[in-house]
Amino acid sequence: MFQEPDESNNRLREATVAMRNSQLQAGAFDRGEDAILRRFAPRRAFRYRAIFAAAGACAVAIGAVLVLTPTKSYAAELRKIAQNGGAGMRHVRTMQVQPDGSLQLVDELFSDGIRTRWIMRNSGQILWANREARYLQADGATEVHAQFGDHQFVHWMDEPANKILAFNRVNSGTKVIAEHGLSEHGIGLNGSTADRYTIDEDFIDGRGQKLRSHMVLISDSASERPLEMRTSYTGPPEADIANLPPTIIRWEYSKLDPKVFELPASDPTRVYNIDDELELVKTSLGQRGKRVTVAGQSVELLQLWVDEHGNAYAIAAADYGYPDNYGIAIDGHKLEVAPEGEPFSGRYLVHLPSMQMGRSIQVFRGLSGIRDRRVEWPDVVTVEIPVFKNKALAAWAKFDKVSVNRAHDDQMLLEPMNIPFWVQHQGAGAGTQAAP
Amino acid sequence: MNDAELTANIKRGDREAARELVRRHYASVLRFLTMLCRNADDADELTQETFLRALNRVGQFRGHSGLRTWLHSIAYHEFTHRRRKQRPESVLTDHATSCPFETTSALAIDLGCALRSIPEDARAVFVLCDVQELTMEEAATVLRIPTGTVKSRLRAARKQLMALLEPEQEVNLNVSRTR
Repeated sequence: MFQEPDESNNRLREATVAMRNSQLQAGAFDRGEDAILRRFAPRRAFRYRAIFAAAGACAVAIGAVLVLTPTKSYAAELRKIAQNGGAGMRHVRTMQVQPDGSLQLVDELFSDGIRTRWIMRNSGQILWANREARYLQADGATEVHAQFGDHQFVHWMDEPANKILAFNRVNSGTKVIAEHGLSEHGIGLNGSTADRYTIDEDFIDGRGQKLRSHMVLISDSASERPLEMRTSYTGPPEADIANLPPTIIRWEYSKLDPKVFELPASDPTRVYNIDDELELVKTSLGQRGKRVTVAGQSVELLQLWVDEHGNAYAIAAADYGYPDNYGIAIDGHKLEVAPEGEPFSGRYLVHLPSMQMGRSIQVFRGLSGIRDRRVEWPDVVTVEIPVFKNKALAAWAKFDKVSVNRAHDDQMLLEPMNIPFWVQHQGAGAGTQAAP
Repeated sequence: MNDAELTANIKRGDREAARELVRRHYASVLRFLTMLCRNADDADELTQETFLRALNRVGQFRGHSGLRTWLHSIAYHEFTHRRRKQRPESVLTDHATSCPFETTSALAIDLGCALRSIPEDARAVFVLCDVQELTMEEAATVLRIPTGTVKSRLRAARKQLMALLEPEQEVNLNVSRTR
């Protein structure tokens, strides 16, 4: 709908409709909804209190009916348990049940409600404290993310609580059976009784398989805190559920040793502030750099990033695509894994530029192919960028005395999904295409 | 459940009704604020503030305008309030922060860039009328300006955006470059 006066042209109309049809990213709504409703405390009007008081006389009778009614919704109870499981001092362990029945620790989370440390078995650990998140990688390098907000981090990190909330959503395929006040095996906290929720849900996974999840959640009756959650998946004989092993999550609420909130020492020369790096990159997109014009093509070098494995990525204002088998050269060393030649034969992907801040921006990669050792380029280098014209290599644009920016891993910083991070919202493949 | 029933239930403290309100309008309000703030984090925070204010003051909703218009009014108020309260450079950052909306259209992305470079008044009117599809009268209510002003600002916004979206004009986008 365009209202009068309508002086829009087709291009603007098409762009507006496309913008209107853009979809909210997965998870964004859930995060927002959760944050709003957690802070919303309904205030009942005074005039209703009398009604509630009168209704109170009937509460016992109604309660008795609800206990005997299997269709009762336990959404509020589960939500409360999930919230309690993601708040305050806690030690949460997630374990996978192995084929021989043994348990393998997958990740471990310590939190006192202010600080949180999350240790992942294979991929490092994260410590969040004082509004700063530090990520210690498995290889010992520390990356710092400094701009997380309180609520954002605590809830983002608490996967078990989110998992309960996911089951708590309205879903016609979900059945919940609750048993309150269990006392066998002393499963409550400090002599309290426990509640057990059995939650079965039929769902279709990403591959279209009809599966059933079976979750048993045990919580402490008095505190409404989760104690243990067991999840398993079943499906028809032909279903592939190898990637869905049974898991057990256990919560403990004993006082935590302050030392658990200390990350192991890392090499101070290998500390990288990802937020600062991203800001530097974003800023460069709107800045001017050194410009070289060769073979009729203009290339304006905005930034050069090198990483610990000798990779180098040049961010430049240039409006041509280049094939994957051509990399940049640093100090005369050509960085490309695949051999040059056959530039647009269809064998190699073509990296396309994208419009950013009104300019055509291209990321020229230079891959060292080295993963097993560290490589350090000098602080100032000479960079050569391949220039393509009419689908053929036309020249090399040479830039002398270029200061390098250092990152732990250029690809993870700039192209975590194989396209520049600033064009990710265009969808996978937006920054590359098969050669014509 | 229509707007009147929804707000009546929220007034009674019905959390599910509150949830429904958020579900219906969250994306719309977030889109509006994202376009205004040009910064996803600010927009996210202001969206939450908008809904909290709406939920806590739902008794003030008289039904003279639609619920969606009312929410946009609160969102715009939150935005202007925040802008006045803080230093401009700390609020309206021009960094290309990640947008919470996904699109596969390069034109939509170009429009997002172009919107960043037109004046805030024109941007607000364009987003309300053409992207959010509010009527001019509703946009006037949200922005607390006469309908005629909405009309003239909309005309100016479209004219600027058309020029900015022309391929040969892209290099002229005036967006915080450091030379």
